Amino acid sequence: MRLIAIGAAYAVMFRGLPEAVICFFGDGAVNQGTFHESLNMAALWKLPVLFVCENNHYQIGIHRHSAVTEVHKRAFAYAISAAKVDGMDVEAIYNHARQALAQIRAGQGPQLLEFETYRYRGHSMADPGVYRPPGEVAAYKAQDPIAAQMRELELHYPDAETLHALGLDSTESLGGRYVEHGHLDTGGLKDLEAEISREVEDAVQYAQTSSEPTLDDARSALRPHWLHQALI
Amino acid sequence: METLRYWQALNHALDTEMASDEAVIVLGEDVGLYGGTYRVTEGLYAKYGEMRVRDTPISEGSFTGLGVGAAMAGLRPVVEIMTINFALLALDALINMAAKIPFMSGGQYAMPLTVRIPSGTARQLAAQHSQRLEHTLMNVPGLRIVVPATPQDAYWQLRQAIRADDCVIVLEHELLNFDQGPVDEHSEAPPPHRASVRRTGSDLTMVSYSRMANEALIAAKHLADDGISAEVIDLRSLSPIDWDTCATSVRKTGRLLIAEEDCRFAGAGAEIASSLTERCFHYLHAAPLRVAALDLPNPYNKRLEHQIIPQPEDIAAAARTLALGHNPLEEAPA
Repeated sequence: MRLIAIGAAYAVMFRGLPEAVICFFGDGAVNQGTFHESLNMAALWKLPVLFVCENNHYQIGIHRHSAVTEVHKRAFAYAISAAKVDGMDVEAIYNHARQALAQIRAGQGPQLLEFETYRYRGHSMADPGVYRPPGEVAAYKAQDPIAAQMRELELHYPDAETLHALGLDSTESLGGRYVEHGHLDTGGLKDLEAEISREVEDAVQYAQTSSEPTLDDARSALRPHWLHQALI
Repeated sequence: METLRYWQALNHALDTEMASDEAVIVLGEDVGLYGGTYRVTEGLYAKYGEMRVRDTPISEGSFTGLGVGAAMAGLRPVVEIMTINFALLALDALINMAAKIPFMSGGQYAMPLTVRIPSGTARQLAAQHSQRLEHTLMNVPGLRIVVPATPQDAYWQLRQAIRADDCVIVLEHELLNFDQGPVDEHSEAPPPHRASVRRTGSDLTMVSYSRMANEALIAAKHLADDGISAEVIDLRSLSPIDWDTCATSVRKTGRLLIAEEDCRFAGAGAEIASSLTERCFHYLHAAPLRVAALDLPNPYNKRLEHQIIPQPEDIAAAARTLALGHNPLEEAPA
């Protein structure tokens, strides 16, 4: 899909849009030729694309698959600026991505970010993930980025009512980080979790209650644009 | 009406479409400053600039995939893959992406991508540089494949491909590039996948495509000297195939000969023979016959190459045996 990303980025540049394309892939996907071909073309033409490698250290079940395991270093061979970021730290990801995207949108060419992270489950439904040493999954789960972020929000942020009672000046005195990054009180967090659950459940229910697609649906999906043309 | 070479007709088609739609871009190896390995993109770089005529690194898989992504984002890319032999590196982009994304998005994405691929045997380019791989692409739902045999069809079909909202592969032929023929740039084109009856006849139907359709026409002229009247159908397209035009002819003549440049085994001819037999079985006086390349890699040696690729005399010889009702491949029952 890196190819599609550089194609979309080419279209963005062609039209002079203030946009950037973000392309995600795993560490297992960096030993294909297209990784190097895409990075080369993106750098050659300064395409507005942010390559994001989610390095979870496993290519399905193979842990050691690269001569150079730090993916971001490969970008330097194509004169692409790149960095390794703690992929379990939401704010670090946000800050790095924001800075990179601003530079990319300003026409400075592609960048690559390597987020060091993990996957808790096997690669697929058929993969129990037993190739990993005992304790590794638990160790990563202990630093789960979503849970960590939630904990931080819950522990450190005064709730909306308290902030309101303190007045605007007091809010500002808490420091830029609290105000600029927004905040959620305990009630807000629960609302957010409920909203996410509801959205997922709605989608599952929609899928389960929808009628099965027909062969005609499949045919028209293959040839949606042929319908009004005389091809033969 | 003007007389153009095949490559010039393609060049005019590109120029016309680029002039009329800014979203049309050309990319590939040496398409810019060099003007294209077969001169097809000559003059376009100077006229439209590097954003619209983009020289690429030798990365067939990725620049074809770049075309897919650009098409999804609203451009109308025309990707040139220097020869069909190098298209093997781009099959992931063609088969897994271009052919699948409209389907897998439930039709939400169009794929206005044209892929021009000079193909076929040339003269002594040896096994890795003179392949005919149409069968590989024909077996992929979601790709349209046109195979122009004349400058006029090259002009029409390339323009139609660029205007199509699906991925269309234009299989050009390396040996046809310097063929000359009349090109009317203003008359209305037939539908892009309609077959053309290039010569009418009553004794047998010869179905062919690309360069071999022209060879079949030569064979038909020889056959006429022998009093055999051959109808020659130029398919113009390998996906979809205009079965009705073929079946109408086969029902009339009762005999079907297929001439193809590709290897015989599992080639396009096998599909054509099988499908037309299903449609016309009770009209056939004899089993369909295929004249195809021998199932060998194309050798460098000139004499061997000549023996492996069907020549007009091979087509004529097969037509004679078919017209006489004798199939050399059919064993007599014990």
